[in-house]
Amino acid sequence: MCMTNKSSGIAIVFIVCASFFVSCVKNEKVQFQIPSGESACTLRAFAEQADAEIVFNSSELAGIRTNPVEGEMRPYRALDRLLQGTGLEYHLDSTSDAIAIVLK
Amino acid sequence: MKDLGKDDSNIDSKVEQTAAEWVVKHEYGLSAAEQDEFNEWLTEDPEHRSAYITQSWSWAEIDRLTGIHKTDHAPVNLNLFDDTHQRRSKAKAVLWSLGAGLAVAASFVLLLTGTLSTKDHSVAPDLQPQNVIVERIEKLRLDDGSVVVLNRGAVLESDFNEHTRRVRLVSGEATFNVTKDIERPFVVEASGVNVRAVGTVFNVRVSEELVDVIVSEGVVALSSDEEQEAVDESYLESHHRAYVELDHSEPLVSIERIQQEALDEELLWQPVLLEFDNTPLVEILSEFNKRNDVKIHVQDPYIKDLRITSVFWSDNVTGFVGLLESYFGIAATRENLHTIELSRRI
Repeated sequence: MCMTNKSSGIAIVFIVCASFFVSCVKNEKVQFQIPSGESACTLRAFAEQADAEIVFNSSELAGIRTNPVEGEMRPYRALDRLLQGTGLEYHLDSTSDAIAIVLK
Repeated sequence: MKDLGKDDSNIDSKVEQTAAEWVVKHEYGLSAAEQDEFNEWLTEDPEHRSAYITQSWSWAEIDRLTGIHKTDHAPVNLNLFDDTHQRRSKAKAVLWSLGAGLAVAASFVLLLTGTLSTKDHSVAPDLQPQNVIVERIEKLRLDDGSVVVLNRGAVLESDFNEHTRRVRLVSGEATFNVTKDIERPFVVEASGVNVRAVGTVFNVRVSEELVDVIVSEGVVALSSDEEQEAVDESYLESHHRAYVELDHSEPLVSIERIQQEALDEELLWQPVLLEFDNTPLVEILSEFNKRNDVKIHVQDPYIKDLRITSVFWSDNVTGFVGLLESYFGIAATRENLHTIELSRRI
């Protein structure tokens, strides 16, 4: 088995990629197309397009609309534009980059 | 930010101090050389990663308590490091998940520390979110394109050559989605039991007493270790399960059919993306609980009924609970290894 093979000098080739299942928000540009609208809808669209994990209090955000975001940009830039002037802000979980949206 | 030099009394070890220094450096941005140095430091010891995450939490909490919100700050992506590390680690022996295990062990140490701190010094609950660190499920892509999903605590060795693709499940549970390569069979060895596949999906769980194999797609062949070639192979088809009992003079194999529902239940540990829209928090927690050994409990009706919209991977318990704790007025207490209790923060 493995030990025998190792001792006989057979080449050991290893895994080239490992990841968590986390929808880790990459600091890479993404194509966004999010119209203005109810935050409940637009934030989910953001999560889908940015491949992000997100959580917010639905009651707290009810009735709040967000800005349209279109074009290729980094996710955090998109989120800044989405939330600008809405009274909302975002916070990150440092272990997984998951995002919480809350009232300022 | 605080001056590091003014708070050395809270830093118990050199590792923690170095981790704290890296957090501060990240606050001001890293040069390319510093990023490389940081990656190297992370690879040196699994505890470095854990220490870094912990220190990041601590600084984030200090920032939050002093009113500094990092709304425009791109965080350090520790997962980006993984790819770099793997590229550099080719041709080196690897015990997957050992690092994660150590990180969790370190987390449990932190858990005890945090709990004691709370009781002894009346520290506010939101100062020790590391209480609820729960290990993530890992997905590995092998160099032949096959994908392995390692359950928490599983340890896997890989040993490929031009003739065979062999991996050894040292402990725990993993699901293998194997790419077809008729010339090079894919063999999983677990406690002397070989599971051979060409192109298929199957789950293997190994313990001291038995090896449990479930086939989701295709066919696998079971046999004893290659040093006992005389032993016949047993074929296991899709939606069949084999128990190989190890506590006999020779492994004892029993095979049974498994229904889709039971198969799905057995594989609940595999992460799925949980999406909820305007849903009571208690229902969301229930889905997390179905899919994790760590259970999140809540008694308070107010918290149960909080209407939440969320998109989260089912194994990211730490992230979900951490955000609830930091931004939703909820305190999370790790009662024991398998229980997290949520309550309203007072």
